[in-house]
Parts: sequence; structure tokens; C-alpha cells
Amino acid sequence: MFQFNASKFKQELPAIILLSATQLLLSLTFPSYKSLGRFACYTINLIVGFLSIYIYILAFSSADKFKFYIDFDGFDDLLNAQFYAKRAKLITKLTLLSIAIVSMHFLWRNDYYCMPSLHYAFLYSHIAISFSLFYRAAHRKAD
Amino acid sequence: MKKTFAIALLFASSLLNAGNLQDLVGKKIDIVHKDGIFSVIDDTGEYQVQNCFVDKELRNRSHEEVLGYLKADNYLFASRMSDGEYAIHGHGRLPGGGALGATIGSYVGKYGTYAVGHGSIFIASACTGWGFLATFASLESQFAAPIEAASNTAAIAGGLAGGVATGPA
Repeated sequence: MFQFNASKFKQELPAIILLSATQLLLSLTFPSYKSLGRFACYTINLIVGFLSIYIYILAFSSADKFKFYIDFDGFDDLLNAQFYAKRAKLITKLTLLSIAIVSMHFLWRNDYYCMPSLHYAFLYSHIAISFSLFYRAAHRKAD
Repeated sequence: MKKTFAIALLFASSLLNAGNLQDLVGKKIDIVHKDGIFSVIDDTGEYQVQNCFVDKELRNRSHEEVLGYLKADNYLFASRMSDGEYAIHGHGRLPGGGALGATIGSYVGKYGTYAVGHGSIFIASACTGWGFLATFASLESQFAAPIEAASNTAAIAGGLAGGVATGPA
């Protein structure tokens, strides 16, 4: 589904730069791989960082293709969609948000990554900002 | 008088020919059966319906036979074609429940597939640390369309199950 679109890339460049910068900065300080040694830790985190940036570029430049899936427009094809689709979309979004919150809370409570709470806060903020930026990108028309 | 009767029509506008929907929506018309011939009376006058445009089950029927058809929990409705001709259709009235059950079933099926599919992708991605977003975006790009297809299948299956479970025995 990823397809590079130059005009969309240009439009979303500030978001891509912001996310890439925070991704690189924070992944280099990600403590989970520190037990592997400094070299391995940096290597893995750099690979993850650059792969992520590559995916950001592809994802944001083809964000409009995800609009159908983000909005759950598949509900519009069902029976009596004019009455129920809007509510079904809202319920689905709330369910997925609940799954996200519960799973992230579970990781934090069990200290899945063995790192301080502040780092979880950074990670989750990064995820929340990314989601909102991608949602905006999916709904913006390319110049 | 004996062989003439008028049937007040509960008008189902959604069943009308789309080309003439605006002409007929909200208007009350009567369907008249006289000497084996159907006519439609609307605001502009009475129109005889050609036999070929009458539902097969109602063609060349006597007054008693049409009444018997209606008493067997069936109903009539008229549609208007692009050339202005009316057509008469007969439909069976099904006991309630099935349609609502099918609707609920289809929504539950689609919702469940979305929740399981996208929820699983989120949980799997959340376990990858700072690779979360890249993993999530990659998985969604690969699986969003298959999840959509699966959700359609689940909606059909749910609709069938719901319709059968709550519909007429």
C-alpha cells in the first residue's frame, strides 16, 4: 500500500522531520539493549531509527491511501448504514483506543522494557503525536 | 361494485423506480383491481397497468384470488418506469426479527474482525519499543486490506447467523 508521492511528501515534510528527529534522539537513548553492550546497543538503535525514518517517509507520503481504513468506512457498505455506521465507527475507534491504552498500561506496569517511567512517557507521547499527525496527513488533500 | 375494490397503498418509496423517485415520493396512490385488470390512480388520473407489468402471481386473477393473496399476509406496491408506465408487484410480509438480527449480526461481525485484527497489530507493535511506529505502519500496510476483506466475510456470516437466529422459524 506504500507508494511514494512527492507532493504529499513535500506537504508532510515537517511532520516527517519532527518524528524522525525524536525517533533518532530517543531511540539512541533507549535502554532496553544496553545489556548487550554499548556498540550493539547503538548499532541496533541506529538500524531501528533509520528503518523507522524510511517507513515514516513512505507512510506519510501515501497517507491518503489509509483514509478508508482510518475512518472505518467499510461500515458504510453494511445494512442500514445511514442509521448505524456512524455509531459503529465510534464504537470501533473507542475499542481500539481501549486496547491501545490497556496494552500500553500493561507494558508500563510490568516494566516490559526495564526503563524509567519517564522514558515510557516519552515513548507514549511520541506514539500519540505520531498518530495524530498521521491522522491529519490522511485527511489532508495533497497540494 | 362487487368486482371492484381499491387497495389503499402503504407506500414504500424506497422500492420505487429511481428515475421517477422524486415524482412519487410522499404521494399517496391507489391500486385498483377491476375485471382482472389493475389500475393505478394518482393525482393526475387513472392509469391502466398492462398485464405484462403485473407480477406473475397476480396476472389474470379474479377478485377473490387477489383478496386471498392479500389475506395470506402479502402486500402490493407500484413502481413507475422511465416511460411513465406503472408496474404492480406483490411481496410476502415476513415475520419481524430477521432483518434486525441480520443487521446486528453483520455489524458485530465486522466490528469483531476490526477489533481483533487491528488490536493484534497494535499489541504486537507495542512490544517492539522504539520500532513501534515503523512496525505498526508496516503491518497495517500489509494487513489493512486483508482485514477489510475478512471483515466483509465476517459481516456476511454474522448477518446470515443473526438473520437465521432471529428470523421466522
